[in-house]
Amino acid sequence: MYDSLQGNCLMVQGVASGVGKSLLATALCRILVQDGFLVAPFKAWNMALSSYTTAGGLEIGWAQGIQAEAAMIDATGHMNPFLLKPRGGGQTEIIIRGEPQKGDARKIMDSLPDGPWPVISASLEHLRKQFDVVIIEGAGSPAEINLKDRDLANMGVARLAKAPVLLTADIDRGGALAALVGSLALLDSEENMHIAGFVINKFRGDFDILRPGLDVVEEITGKPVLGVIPHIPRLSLGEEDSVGVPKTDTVTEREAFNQPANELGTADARARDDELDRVAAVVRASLDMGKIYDLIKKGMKLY
Amino acid sequence: MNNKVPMGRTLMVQGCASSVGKSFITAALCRIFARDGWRVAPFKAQNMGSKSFFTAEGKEINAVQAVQAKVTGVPPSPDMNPIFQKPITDTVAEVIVLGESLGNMTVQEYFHFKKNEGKAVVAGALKRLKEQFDLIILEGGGSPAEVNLRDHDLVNMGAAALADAPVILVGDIDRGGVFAYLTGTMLLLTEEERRRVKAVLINKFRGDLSLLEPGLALLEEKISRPILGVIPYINDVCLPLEEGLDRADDDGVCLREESVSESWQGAYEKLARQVRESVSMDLLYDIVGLPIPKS
Repeated sequence: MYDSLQGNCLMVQGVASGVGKSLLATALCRILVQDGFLVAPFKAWNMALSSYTTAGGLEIGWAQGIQAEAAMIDATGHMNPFLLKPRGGGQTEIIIRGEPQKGDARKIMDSLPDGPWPVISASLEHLRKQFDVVIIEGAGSPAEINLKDRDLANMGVARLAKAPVLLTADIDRGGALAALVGSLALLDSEENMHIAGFVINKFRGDFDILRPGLDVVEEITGKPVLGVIPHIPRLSLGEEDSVGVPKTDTVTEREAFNQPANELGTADARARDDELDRVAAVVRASLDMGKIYDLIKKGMKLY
Repeated sequence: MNNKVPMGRTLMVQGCASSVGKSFITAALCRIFARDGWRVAPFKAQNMGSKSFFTAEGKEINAVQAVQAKVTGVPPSPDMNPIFQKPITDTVAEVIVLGESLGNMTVQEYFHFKKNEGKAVVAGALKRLKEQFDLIILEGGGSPAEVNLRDHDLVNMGAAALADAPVILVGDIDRGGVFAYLTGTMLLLTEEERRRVKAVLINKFRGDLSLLEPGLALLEEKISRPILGVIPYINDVCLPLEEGLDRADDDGVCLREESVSESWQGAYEKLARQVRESVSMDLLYDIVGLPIPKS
């Protein structure tokens, strides 16, 4: 049905941090591999306090490591070309394709001969050549009007990959409908074209009460809501310990997971795999997977 | 400035989402205006939480409004939190009205109460406060733009209408997307509700203000409202906040004590000072419609 997939991209962006982008991308990786596709995760630029160590001893973003596990592949440095780790006292360490660089992040970024985009582009291309689908994760919000020129993670990557984007909002926190409508209002027309639809995350309560709100959002933006994912209790995949993102209410991933993959006990690895299946099942049931596969297959030609 | 007749002015603090810092900002603003010599009271029409405070008369209100009253230097009163819901299960809560329990209600029973009696309860409390105070600072709940939850709203624009209060909308920049949240909230309000919003406030800012400033100018243009100020992220204030289910609050949770200790007063003094330095007090006085005190 979809044997023409070669490096097709789908991107997950969020209206803010902590809305569940990583979780959605992780679930999509597991769903796709369950359905027989070769899939890889990608996040161009990441800022976090801790990281995931690959089997090859490289350091990448925590979520991308988990997403690689979800996709049942080994994590590689290409999955996260730039990782910045604040070290305190204004110092930031920069890790490029999994390899920590000596010196200050700002200086290193400035010294890249053609800037960061060739690095990002080459890593993305590398993955696209090897995999049927690349699930790309954004960072923060694509609508930070004061930071658009400097943004390395969101619409710049969507443009590079010509990727349709699922914009995700956390409804548990309140204001999700406003955040979706507001995000679109702040995108320019080209950026707006990338947004294929919305995913509502962490929902609790009566869907019948929510539905009229979703109708209003669809009417104002002209984009469909492609899924409402319920709040998933006792999630234990850990969450990126980045500045401003809430820690998981279970053991922080620094304690539990920031260790080389080959040091993970078999029981831990199996438990995590079960958790990935559990999450994938909930998300699969919550999304319009037919429409999402259409987006993956047809890309932005669809709309 | 203890004029004989209380001025009965109002100001409402609403947020784009939960946990943007409404409670802290309300407490700080109460304290700022009290320091300037006004008789100030905090207010939240309807509050859900599990932490109670019992007044001297044995009336029960949410601990948050009690703390806000204490740091303002006024005794907590049930008029400051006329409706207090204490959740028992996902669909049942104990409903406490003007400090007295009406027993447990299901979601439907509460909706019925809200529709038929809620407005009168809230209006009555506001009227009594206006007769005693120069300024009532109302705190909203969640977001005023939940378009599917508008009917019979008592906590946000419903309260603002009953109090005829000008509104300041607060966004949390620490989690990202603040421009989208503020813009979207304004877009989803009705024309009348939008007219109440006089300014926006950005809270929990960390980092380089010079990177933010171009965005502020763009935002002011987009929403046609001034930015009252940018409040920095403040680590060390504690306030008993509503308990969300499974929510670990990054602002911290305090001990449940009825008396506010010296250290709390000290912490709120610091918070009030920081907020005062971060906002345009001239604009705030203009919005509230009170004369700026001569220093």
